[in-house]
Amino acid sequence: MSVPTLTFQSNDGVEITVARDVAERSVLIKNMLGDLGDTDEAIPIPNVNEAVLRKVIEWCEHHKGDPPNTGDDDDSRRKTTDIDEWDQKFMQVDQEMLFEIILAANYLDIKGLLDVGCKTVANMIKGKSPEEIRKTFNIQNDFTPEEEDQIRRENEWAEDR
Amino acid sequence: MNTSDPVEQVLVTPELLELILAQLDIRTLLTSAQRVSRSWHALIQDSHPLQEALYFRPIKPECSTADQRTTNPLLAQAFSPIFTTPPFGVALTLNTLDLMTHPAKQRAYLRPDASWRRMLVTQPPATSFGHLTSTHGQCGDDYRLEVWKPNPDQEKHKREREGLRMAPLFELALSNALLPSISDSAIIWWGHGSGSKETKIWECVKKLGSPQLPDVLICGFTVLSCVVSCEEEDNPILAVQREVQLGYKEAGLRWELLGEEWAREVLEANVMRY
Repeated sequence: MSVPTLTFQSNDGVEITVARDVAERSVLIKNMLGDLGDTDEAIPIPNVNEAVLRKVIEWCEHHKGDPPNTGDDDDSRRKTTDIDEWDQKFMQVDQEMLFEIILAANYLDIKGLLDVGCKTVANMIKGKSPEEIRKTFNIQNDFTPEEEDQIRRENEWAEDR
Repeated sequence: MNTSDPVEQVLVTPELLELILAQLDIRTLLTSAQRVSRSWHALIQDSHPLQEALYFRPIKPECSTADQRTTNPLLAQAFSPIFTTPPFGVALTLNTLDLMTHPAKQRAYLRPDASWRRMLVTQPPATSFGHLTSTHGQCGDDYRLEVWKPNPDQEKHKREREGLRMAPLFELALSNALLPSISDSAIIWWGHGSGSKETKIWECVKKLGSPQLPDVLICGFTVLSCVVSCEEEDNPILAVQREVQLGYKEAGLRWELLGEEWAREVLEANVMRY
């Protein structure tokens, strides 16, 4: 018997066929299939382009054997900043792709992938000064000098020196 | 959201930025992330999980058992002598405090709005705090135990969301270290101390008829003698205290101990010797 499959259509019109158990790593897709039943038609993924969708599917394929996420609160409390080796390699992409993956994981509701994405970004922030963080992500400093100084002084005792 | 830049799209979505910041170490979150921009600062201030990660907002005790308390890592580093129990017969040596070993940082520490003052010492927080003193005199021993607990007159939700913060702990540790003729001192976390010292403390507490130790207990044992010590000038604690007092004065700070959200209980006993 052949493996049941689904077809996704990226927002740039490319159709990609995926095994159903891989696709169901996405809670959004899983719930949708639960409501709709089986479908032969391509499922449009309006927010995700082909390159990103292929990346997301690659992650889901690698992690298809993972225990399903119970979704209880305990999970988010358990903090592990270390990312498994395969995931680390997987996340070695340019900054734009990394953030595209986060957006797609959030939209498709793939908690494990969202976690890895957020951890990867957190690792880029760790140990950086405010100015370095702003530079990295092109963020405007909209504090008045007095406001920023106030926050700095409250926490100056904890600065690494 | 009109932006097509995915980086910006993620970072202006509060739920996503919160998930990212929740993965940061406490130091970067406190000293850098808050200063990036107004929206980052506002998000960190308003987010319950991030305020909990920063030890500002108590987490509910039922989230973990008593033994799963985590010590605030920033405080444990900055105030290391307070977070370690010295061996028997050795007094707490506050001169290894970060603010003593790095005089340049003293001003940063001794600001009234310095954030360490309002940080919880553990998560879930310590909800009882004690000061035990025993004075060993020529004709008898005096025991005194002061215990602070959340004030039962407080509204329930407030009572359940309070815990021991660093300023009162620091100030009590410092004043304890200044007890005249102190021979030994300790700080006991959750009743776990170093063996013989713990036994000595339990004996004192039993003499006072108290059934249990508070979560955090500062102890000072003093021996009264007729000989006036002339070492006082060299006492490193006095030097620390002088510096801190001066710093407090300059910064307009007052010893605050615990406010009215805490209730205080005092047990005293005197054991005569013939």
